[in-house]
Amino acid sequence: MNEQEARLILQAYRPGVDPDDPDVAAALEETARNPELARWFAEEQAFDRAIAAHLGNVPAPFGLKTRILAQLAPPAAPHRWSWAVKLAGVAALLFLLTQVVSLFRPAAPKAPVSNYAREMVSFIRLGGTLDMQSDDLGQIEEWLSKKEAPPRFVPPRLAALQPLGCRLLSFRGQTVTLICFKRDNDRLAHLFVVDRAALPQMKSGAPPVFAGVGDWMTASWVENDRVYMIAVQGDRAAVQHYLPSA
Amino acid sequence: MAAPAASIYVRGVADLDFEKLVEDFYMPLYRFALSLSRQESDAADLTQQTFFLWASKGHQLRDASKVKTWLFTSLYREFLGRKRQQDRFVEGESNAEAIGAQTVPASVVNQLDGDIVQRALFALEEIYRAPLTLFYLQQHSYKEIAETLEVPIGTVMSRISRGKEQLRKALADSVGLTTSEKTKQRHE
Repeated sequence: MNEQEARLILQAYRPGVDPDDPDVAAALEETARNPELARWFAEEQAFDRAIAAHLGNVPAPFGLKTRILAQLAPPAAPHRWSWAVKLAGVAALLFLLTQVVSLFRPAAPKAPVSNYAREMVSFIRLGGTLDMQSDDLGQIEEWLSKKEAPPRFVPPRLAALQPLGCRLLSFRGQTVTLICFKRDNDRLAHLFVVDRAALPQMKSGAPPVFAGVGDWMTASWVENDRVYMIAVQGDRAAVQHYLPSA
Repeated sequence: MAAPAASIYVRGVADLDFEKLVEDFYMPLYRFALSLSRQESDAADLTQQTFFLWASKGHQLRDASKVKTWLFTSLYREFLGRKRQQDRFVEGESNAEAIGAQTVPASVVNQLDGDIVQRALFALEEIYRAPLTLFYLQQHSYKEIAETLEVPIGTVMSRISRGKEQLRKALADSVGLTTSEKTKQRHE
């Protein structure tokens, strides 16, 4: 093994992480014979440790773990029941489902929207920075258009408030437009817009779906294949005030 | 360094504690996602989506020892899928001439601001950035990196080697820039 080959192998070798295979062993033996290679390898290891330490200090967003745990359930355990038992179970479940669905129809689906509401409210609770700050709704809309963010319309009563700026978020791979407005007493109102593909259960023309997240109340509805959601601190009446239908 | 949560490998996938799985992997997954997407919100969403995929499909995995690779591979595929959707996937293997060795002593790297190192690492071409980030997360052997990125081991090793060269050059540039900036500030 020559020095170049040894360097290539040792460059990707981390003691304790990578296995000591014969190539690594041969490369390490080469360092014992070649002081220059040994010096290079020691510096290489120190460089790797320094970069790894920096990368290990990159923090995750506050609340990320909580959001993951709050929204997801563990995978269902594989069962070893017989086919007969499975079929009987499925039949019973189907019967139950039809009964339950008939009881609650035509209520809007709650779980996916409430997940969306919880996740978006968790973002605004974190008090993160806005991508673009402006008190001019026209400038905000121009900025969003340049970013090819979802098309949006702003309900008149929200548009009457002073805008603060906007931010682009992500939900299940879809870009979410967030526009923030200032209400009275330094409270805020938030408008979220996302493509309906992110929440396919939401039906066009259905009444708004309300979901409470802590002291926040959200109202979501579909318009032109986009899901709009308003979030304000307060009760149902507080958010209803800003709906287009109000 | 041993892979985290070695204790979770002793039983089947169905016995894994979901909360412990999140606790063990959400940080390295987020760091990997951040290096790929270079956007905090996208990285957080990719991490969440990875656990969402685990919750819906994880039970299909037979070998509990593959959980880590499964999670990182899923995140990487999700990233590639989204990138293809955005129609921005135009990077290819670099044909640039080999970059000359740059001297950035480890002692200097140790003293650099974390943001400078992060920016330099995240500015690398993606084909080098992904294996190099996994390399520096120190939780994957290069065989596992090859499995995660679905490329041969030899390719991983050469990409790590070239990635390191690019990183050294970027850091050398950053150090030079920082020094000149300081000199400029002193004169002002």
